[in-house]
Amino acid sequence: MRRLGVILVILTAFICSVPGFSLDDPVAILEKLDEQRFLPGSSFKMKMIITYGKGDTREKTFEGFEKGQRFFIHFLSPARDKGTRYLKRKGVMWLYLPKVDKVIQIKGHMLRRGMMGSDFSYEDAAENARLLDDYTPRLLGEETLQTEETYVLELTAKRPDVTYYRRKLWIGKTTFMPLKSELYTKSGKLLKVGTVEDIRRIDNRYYPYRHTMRNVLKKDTLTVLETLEINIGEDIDPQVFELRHLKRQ
Amino acid sequence: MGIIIKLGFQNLFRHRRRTLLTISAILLAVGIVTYIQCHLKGIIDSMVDDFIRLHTGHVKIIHPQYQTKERLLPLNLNLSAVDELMAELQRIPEVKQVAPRLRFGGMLNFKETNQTGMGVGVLPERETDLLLLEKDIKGGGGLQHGGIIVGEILASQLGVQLGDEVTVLSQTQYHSITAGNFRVSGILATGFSYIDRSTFYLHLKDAQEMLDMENRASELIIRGEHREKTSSLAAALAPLVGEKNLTLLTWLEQGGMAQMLKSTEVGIGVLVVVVLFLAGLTIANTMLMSVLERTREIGTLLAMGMRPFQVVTLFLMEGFYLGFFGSMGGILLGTVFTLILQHTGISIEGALENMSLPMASVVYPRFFWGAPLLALVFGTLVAMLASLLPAYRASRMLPREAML
Repeated sequence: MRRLGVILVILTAFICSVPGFSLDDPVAILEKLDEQRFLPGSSFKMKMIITYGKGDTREKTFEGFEKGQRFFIHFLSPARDKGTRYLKRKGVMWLYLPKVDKVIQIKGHMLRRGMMGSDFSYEDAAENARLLDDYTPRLLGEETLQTEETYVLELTAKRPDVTYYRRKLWIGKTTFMPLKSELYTKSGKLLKVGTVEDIRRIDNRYYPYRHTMRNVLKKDTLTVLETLEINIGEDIDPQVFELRHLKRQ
Repeated sequence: MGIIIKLGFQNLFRHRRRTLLTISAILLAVGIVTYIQCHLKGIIDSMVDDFIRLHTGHVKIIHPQYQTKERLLPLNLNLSAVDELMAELQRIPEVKQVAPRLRFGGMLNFKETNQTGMGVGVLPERETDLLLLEKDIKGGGGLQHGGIIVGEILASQLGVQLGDEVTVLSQTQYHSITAGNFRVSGILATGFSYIDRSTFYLHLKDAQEMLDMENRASELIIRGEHREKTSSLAAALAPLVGEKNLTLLTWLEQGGMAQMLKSTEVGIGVLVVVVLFLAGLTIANTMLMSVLERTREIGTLLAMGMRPFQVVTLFLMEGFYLGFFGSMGGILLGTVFTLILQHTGISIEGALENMSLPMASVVYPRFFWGAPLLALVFGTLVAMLASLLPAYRASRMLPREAML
């Protein structure tokens, strides 16, 4: 019995090392993307620029920490949003409203609303960083997006409760970043278009300093998320992601 | 002819009991007809007045797309630069009162209890004759900054009392979650259960701040001199509203008001006809009995040489006297009754408790001259007509037969 176990281990190792592991494999491409998206532990400061059309633009800055599937953010400006905090842990999103000193869980239809009035919904912010867990990828082909060579991947949800049933991603061949993504409903309706820009190399990974998101259903809106500072690989105190930390002044 | 008119009058006193009975029947029927009309008029009028006061104004100014999506309380379809717009409106002489309102969906939280409701941001000093009637505010004072007035039923569902601090949760016009703490400064009991159950009021400035809607409102409620003068008010406002590319709606154009009014009026018309029919039947029956009883008398009159035409006229005159005096008494009774109840009101709270009807729970009948006038003409005519037929038939008989 023990021998069989040893054989199995050897066999598995052998199969995995077969050179057939090529990048024509959509699963492998998506895996690479997930690796980039899944941050081991980081602290950051970001600026959110929301345009509501006709010169109505709001800027919000926040700082926070992220580790794997958890994040904590704290808004610094503008005055009306100062002190607002969000915590995502165990797939649940919490909001702290300083004006009324209350913590509320964001659930139900609220999850589909724009976070802080942006084009990023709470669901977008709260979603699983590993797309491969929720989607089955299919390679549609290769395209040149502006100057970048990309793989075009179509992702179809494995479960019905995933926010966007279908996604179309243009993944950079060198950076493995989703340079452009289109998010669709099950009926095939385009909901959102996102891009990542200003990709820089930090240590052994790529990181986009600029995200944009446009909710196609709303007219003339656009949200740009700019990273002002980021430290990847930082050791984050796990207490930061505790619920009681939300309310702590 | 003169003698017949006189004789008809004197006949009233021959059989006093019969006369009294007939007159009482007419009096009661006409009294009811008079009152019912005023009662129904009172219901319609108070419905319209309350609707104008609480919802529509004589006219309302809104964003052009607001009306079609009104049910969703869309914050983005708002009026901007409201302060300036109000100042401009007040320069128009036909405009007597302008009240800005900012309506939004929200949730009230008190301790562990949550209730959803409709919030309305108002400027209290502009709502004195409109939303925040002093008589409606039960306990507490007016609305100040940082205060909230909660509908009576909503307040009891939340378990809040005057002075408690409640949290209002809502979304800004950009759908960002927002909240504020407000101290309960009044409990509103309008008597409209659909308002008292779900509505709360904030100071406009507080609502604007919370919803990120500085100097904005969902609607401007405008009152002119009288609701009958709505069209001239609308005409006076049209140029300004057109220039700003906004939409103006008169009270008749809002919330299916005209349709509701029309169907209510039809319903009430039917009701009045039914009441008239019943009253007419009572009067006719009494008259018929009293004339048929007198077939012999008619025979005697004919035998003594009175002509059939004169006999008919005599009875017609009697019918007229009975109808007229009975009806006069009836409208007096109905009017007095109406005037008393117009003052005290009739509570129908029990009947409305579980209904979301836009009706006040106290009905005040409203006197109008048309009601007694119609009742008088009707009562008199029915009495005359009812005496005409049997008298005519008897006058056609041979005196011998009639006297049998």
